[in-house]
Amino acid sequence: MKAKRIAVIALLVFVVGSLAYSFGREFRGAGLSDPGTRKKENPPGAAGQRPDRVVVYYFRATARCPSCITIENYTREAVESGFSDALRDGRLQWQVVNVEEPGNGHFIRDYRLYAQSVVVVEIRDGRQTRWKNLDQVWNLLGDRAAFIGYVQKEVGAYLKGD
Amino acid sequence: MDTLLLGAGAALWLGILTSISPCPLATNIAAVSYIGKHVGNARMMLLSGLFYTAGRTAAYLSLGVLLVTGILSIPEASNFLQKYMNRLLGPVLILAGMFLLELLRPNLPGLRLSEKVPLRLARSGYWGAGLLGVVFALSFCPVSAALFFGGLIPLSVKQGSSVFLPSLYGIGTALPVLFLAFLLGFGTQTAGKAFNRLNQIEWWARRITGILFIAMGIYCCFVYLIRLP
Repeated sequence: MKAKRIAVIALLVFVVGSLAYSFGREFRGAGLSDPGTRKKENPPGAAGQRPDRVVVYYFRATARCPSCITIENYTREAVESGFSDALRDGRLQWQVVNVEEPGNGHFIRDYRLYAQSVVVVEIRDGRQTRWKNLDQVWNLLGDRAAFIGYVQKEVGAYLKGD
Repeated sequence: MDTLLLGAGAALWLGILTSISPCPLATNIAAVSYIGKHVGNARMMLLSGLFYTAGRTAAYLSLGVLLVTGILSIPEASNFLQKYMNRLLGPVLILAGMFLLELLRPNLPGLRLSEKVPLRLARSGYWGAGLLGVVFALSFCPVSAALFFGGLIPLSVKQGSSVFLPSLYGIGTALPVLFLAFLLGFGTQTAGKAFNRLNQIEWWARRITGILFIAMGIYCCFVYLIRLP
């Protein structure tokens, strides 16, 4: 009977503690929304960046899943193996963004994100001119070669301006 | 007609894909054990399975109507459900497991009637299964979100079907779970009858389900609330 009571108390404390921890962290995160402390992405025309470039974003959440990590790894591999020169000279950028971090929520609305996504963005004269959500990445997860080929084809087309 | 049939097949297949993907594994194991726990009562097992399917279907259907008609925005609904429903999942599973193990009872002193009702639902057979279906369906993980919001909803918009295709998707998400639960339940029932140990097996099935619920709940709390890597 005593063991049962201890189990009940331990589980209830764990549930309440987990919820309190999660909401506490959310609250602290909201506190970071002060513009002075907010983590910012590089704006399109930021100093030191080429005015004409292509950005490949991988948008993720805090909780990861095996498929999400695979998408990130395959996309990184596609970009690094296919466009190393463009990456070096700044014509191409690769960025991983956690949309749940303070200040990154706008990406969800900007690119209509409904899941972890790969988005290619074209910037001309420091302004975003077009973007594309590579939504086939989820369908090609089981075929590494096809996945990499798909990402390289789409990124290559943006780099050529097609 | 052909387009509608193709769309129906695709919706059902998307549902099955959602269910067999590794990401909702914890909730699927919980559902299989919950439905399969009625080892000695085939009618109860079938009813639980049907109510679980109905719960999932109702959740996807409601969401489908709200999204296809444009009342809800796809990105906002998807991100809200992924962020908050999964946080509820751990506590809900732990509390349901505690009721299954009879660690908690609905007649706790000081509880109002409105608080007792969900607790009774968690312990009850098929109504509990229906409720679990709703909660599990709305707890989107990245894979299920991609398949539902990126696959099914565009298909439903294209076909102008806010009810039929989301319903088929809901049935599809429940099919593999039902298949496994019935296989497990009826297999155990046959073995139990053969060895004249049905009552004992039933007793263990209930306890194993409760322990599984608590274990899955603790796992979900660590992943979605405490956010351990």
